[in-house]
Amino acid sequence: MSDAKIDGSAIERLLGVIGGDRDDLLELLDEFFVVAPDYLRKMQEAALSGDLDNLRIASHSLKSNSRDFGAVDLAGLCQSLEHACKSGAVSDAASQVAAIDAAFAAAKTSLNKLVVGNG
Amino acid sequence: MQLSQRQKHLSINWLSEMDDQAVVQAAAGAVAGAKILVVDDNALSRKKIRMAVQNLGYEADVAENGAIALSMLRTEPYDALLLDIMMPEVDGFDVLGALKDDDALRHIPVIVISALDDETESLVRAIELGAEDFLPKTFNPTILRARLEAGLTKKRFRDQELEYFGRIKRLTAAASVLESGRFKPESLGLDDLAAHDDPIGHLASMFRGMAAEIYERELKLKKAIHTLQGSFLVLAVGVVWGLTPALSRMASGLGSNPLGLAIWVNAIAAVFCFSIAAYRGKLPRLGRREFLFFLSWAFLAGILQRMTTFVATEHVEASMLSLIVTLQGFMTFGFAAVTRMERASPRRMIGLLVGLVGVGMVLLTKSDLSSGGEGIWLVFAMLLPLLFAIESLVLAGKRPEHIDIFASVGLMMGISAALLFPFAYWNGDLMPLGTQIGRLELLVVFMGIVGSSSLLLAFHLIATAGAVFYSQSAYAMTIAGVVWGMLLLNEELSVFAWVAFGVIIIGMYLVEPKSKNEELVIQRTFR
Repeated sequence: MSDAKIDGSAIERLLGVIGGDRDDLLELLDEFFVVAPDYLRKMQEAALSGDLDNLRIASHSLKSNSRDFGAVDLAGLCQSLEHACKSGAVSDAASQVAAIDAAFAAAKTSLNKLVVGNG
Repeated sequence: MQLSQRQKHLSINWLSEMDDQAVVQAAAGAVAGAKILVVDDNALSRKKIRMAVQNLGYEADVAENGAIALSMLRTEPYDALLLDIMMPEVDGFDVLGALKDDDALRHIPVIVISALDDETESLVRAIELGAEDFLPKTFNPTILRARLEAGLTKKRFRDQELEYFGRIKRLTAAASVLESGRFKPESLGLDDLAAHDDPIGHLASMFRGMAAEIYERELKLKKAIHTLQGSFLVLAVGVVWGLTPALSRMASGLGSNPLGLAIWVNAIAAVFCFSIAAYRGKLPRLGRREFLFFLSWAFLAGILQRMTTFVATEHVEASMLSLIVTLQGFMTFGFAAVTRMERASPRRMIGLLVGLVGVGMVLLTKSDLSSGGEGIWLVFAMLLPLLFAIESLVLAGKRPEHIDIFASVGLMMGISAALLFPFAYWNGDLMPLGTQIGRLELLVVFMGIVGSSSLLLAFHLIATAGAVFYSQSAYAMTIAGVVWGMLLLNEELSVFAWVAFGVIIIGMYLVEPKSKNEELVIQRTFR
């Protein structure tokens, strides 16, 4: 799996926000790896059922969390889908969600390497 | 991989070299004590913001949706709210709307959290709904601190303003209490306000102090008037009672006998009192308890007191008997103190002693007390003040207050006449009055009115000034007996006797009537 682009300054900012405690940062990263698949599942369900409202909310949430960890590509894809939902013109929602899923997998690998030192 | 395992591998260089300046700045600006509620449905964002808030030194609670947040806000005090707008079900706008409609919550500063991507409209709407400010989702601690401190400072000012107006409101309420005439410092409720060392505290303290001064002054004045009224009543009771022996002697001179006379006097007094009660529309309905009370009272006053008087006057010299009767005050005082019906202070005890000295002085100018009577009869005569004391205490503590005063006296007099009737019949002392209205008949009617009037006065005195103060009427009775003697028998009194009267008045001042528990209301016009 290819590495995703991670904005290191975003992680630096997040660490500053939470007081510089590295344990807390890792706790947040753990939380990200738990909640992101939940959002992806909701997005897939919403894409299948054509529920644009739930698709928009889930995209919005995943976008915010991705930005906190500097997952630029993932955040960008989520933002595009959120905008599309807001305008009501979503083309092939399922493939967009699949792209977001792949971007998350890549971001996860990169974050594990960068923050935790695995890989 | 678990967190604990990962910690060992925390290795990236840039992380250890990061600039901690923002963190240090944030911590320096922390305001201890403020409590912030973080509302966000996104678990990661919620956790991040809670950590950030705690890092700034604030206390932080979290709510995962708008409904939980509103419930928490209504049960616990929060100083500020960090609110996400986009939430399922009860969203940020709903929360803002609910806060706006709630007087207790509308002043809590709300900072909405926004991603700022095409959310300008949402922000405008949130601010229109009462949000103080907004915070981007990707904020730095300095911005968070600045936003929170601005909101908290505003709230602090607002709280101080509310507290200030609350204190002004209480001062105004205290002024209304004064306006209603209640000057008792406790009724103003300014004690805690006056404890503040600031201008309003000083104002409250001055306000309360002035009210206390006026209250004390008015209380003293009222007490003095109360004592004066009581003394006047004591004298009136004594004067009217004191007339009875003289009238009895006059009736005796016209051929009456004591028992027959008592029946007529009591019966006429009963008719007189009942007539007034009927005119006032207050004829009583008696229950079993009330009837027993009046029967006991009539037995005590009509039979026991009268019989004891008859026997005592035959064996004890009249002046000595007058002196013995004044012991009523001490007996009443003793009973009242033991039963805690009235305040038993040394001052009142001294007052009674001073009165007794005064009576002794009066009697010394009139008689030779050394030939007052034999010892056993002197002891017997002491039954009289004891019976008087019991009567006054029973009237003070047990009388049925719902029965009119005229009806009460009428009932007692009527029952008393009925109780005496068999004795008089058995002794052949019944005293038929002539069909023609002559001197005796007029005298009997007058004695009935005098007898009932003295009882009515006594009744009123006991109710308003208490049994102990009333007991001093024995002194007044003795004085009145002497004065009536002067008037009817042309006796003369020495200067010494007049001084003795003054001593008795001083005694009355010292005994003073019992104090009432009701709060003093002072009528004042402020406008």
